[in-house]
Amino acid sequence: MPPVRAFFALAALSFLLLSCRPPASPDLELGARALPAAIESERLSFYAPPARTPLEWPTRGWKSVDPASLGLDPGALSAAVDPYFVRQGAEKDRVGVRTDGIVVIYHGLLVHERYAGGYGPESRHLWWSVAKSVGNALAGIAVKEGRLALDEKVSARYPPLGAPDKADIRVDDLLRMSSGLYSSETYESSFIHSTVNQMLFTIGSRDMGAFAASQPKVYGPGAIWEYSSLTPNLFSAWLSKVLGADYADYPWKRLFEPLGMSSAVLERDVAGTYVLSSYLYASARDMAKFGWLFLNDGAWEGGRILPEGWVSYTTTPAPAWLRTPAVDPAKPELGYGAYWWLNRSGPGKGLPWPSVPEDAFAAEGHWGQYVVVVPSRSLVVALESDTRDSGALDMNRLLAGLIASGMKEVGK
Amino acid sequence: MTPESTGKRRGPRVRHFVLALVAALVLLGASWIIPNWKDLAAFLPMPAHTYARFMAMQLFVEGRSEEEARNWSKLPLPILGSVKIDRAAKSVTVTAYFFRATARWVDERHGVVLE
Repeated sequence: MPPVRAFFALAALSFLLLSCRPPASPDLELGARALPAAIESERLSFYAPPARTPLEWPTRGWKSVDPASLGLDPGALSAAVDPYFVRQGAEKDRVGVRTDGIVVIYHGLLVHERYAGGYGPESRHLWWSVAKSVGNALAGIAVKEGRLALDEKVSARYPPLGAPDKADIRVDDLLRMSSGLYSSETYESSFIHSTVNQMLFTIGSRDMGAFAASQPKVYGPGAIWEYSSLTPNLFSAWLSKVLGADYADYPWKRLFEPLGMSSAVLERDVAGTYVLSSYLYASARDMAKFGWLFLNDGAWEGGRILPEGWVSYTTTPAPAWLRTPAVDPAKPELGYGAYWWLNRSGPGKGLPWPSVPEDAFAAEGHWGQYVVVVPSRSLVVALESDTRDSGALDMNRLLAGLIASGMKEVGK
Repeated sequence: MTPESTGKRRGPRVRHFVLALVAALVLLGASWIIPNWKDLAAFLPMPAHTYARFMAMQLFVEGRSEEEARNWSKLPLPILGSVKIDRAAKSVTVTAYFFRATARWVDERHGVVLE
């Protein structure tokens, strides 16, 4: 073929290839919600509610104790945490592990706390995607109040999702990151194609729910698990229709105020939708209260904030996560429940934090934000940071070090 | 055949080849830009929008100093335009790469919003 024709042929082929988005697989359209029998057995929550209700609640603040009084080795606690507070490079370079604060709660008591970078016990910090787990709590509260059902179709009360090919998406599909809507969850790695950047900062930022709903359907709902920051905001926009006038105060009246999270800030987009994907701020102490709520099965101060069984639902691996192949089996990533991450392996997937009990679950945010709950050790860890080096923060080592300071299995 | 006549024949051939090469490159570029135009158009305002939001979040929600806010708000692309911090109105306006964006503080509960 002459070179000129070859150029044109190559250009035409590139055009065709680049114009195409991945088509929906027919196999994933039919019976998407059913799981093979071999996988069904994996579908259990490892969460067990505590046998006893705490005597004291941290609503008005955490009670600090000498860790030795609980049988912990203070030196071992410090040794576990210290490596995460060694800063590298100049402030403007933002390299290495950059922990801004850590709060360690053991049996409901504050046993270790440390801050850096100008942050302190009362400082607000951005928790990024930990906001998704707050979205989970708001969903649970609305379920408790009988205002939503998990198997409800989102389109019934949210017209932007009314297109025939999207009308079957349920609330549960949104909470389990398996809506099947197109998403490109890249931040720095692919600026141009990142739907999360578009939603947070440019074409989707005014009405994030509508932007999420406008994405093309790629898979059948419930078929494939794909982490997407778009779906929590679609859920949030839908929740605003469900709650009506109550939506504006709902996070405070039902969650932040009962827990005593006085530092909490939850931002909205221009349309008034709470950005449940990303924009939550609070102190580390307040975020530890949020973790303590989940450790205690949603109970608080003699009552209940979350409905019975909600934490078990939250910590049950998402069916779509179980059936979605691991990206790299040699580097296991956390499993997924409902807007919370799980220290779970699945078929062909290893244990992500091998030195940490399997019942551990976590709210996780961009640049190293974590609220980790380990019910079997009565342990909650809230870690705020600005760690931009992907993979630099070794949570397995940190948590294993804390537990090794003397944290015994509950009841043993 | 004289060397002069050979040179006369090569001239148009080289010109044609260069033109074809340029046309192919333009077509290749267009073949990438056209299908990606929506994403590209969304990307161009991103530095200004992101920096305005980041600075406002740091200054007015977290209460950080201006130096701390600038360090935290660092983006992979440098902000070559202007950054205007209005402390009275609690807003940050950024102009960069031909786009302008303002993020302003709303209230204690709701932090900042990108306008």
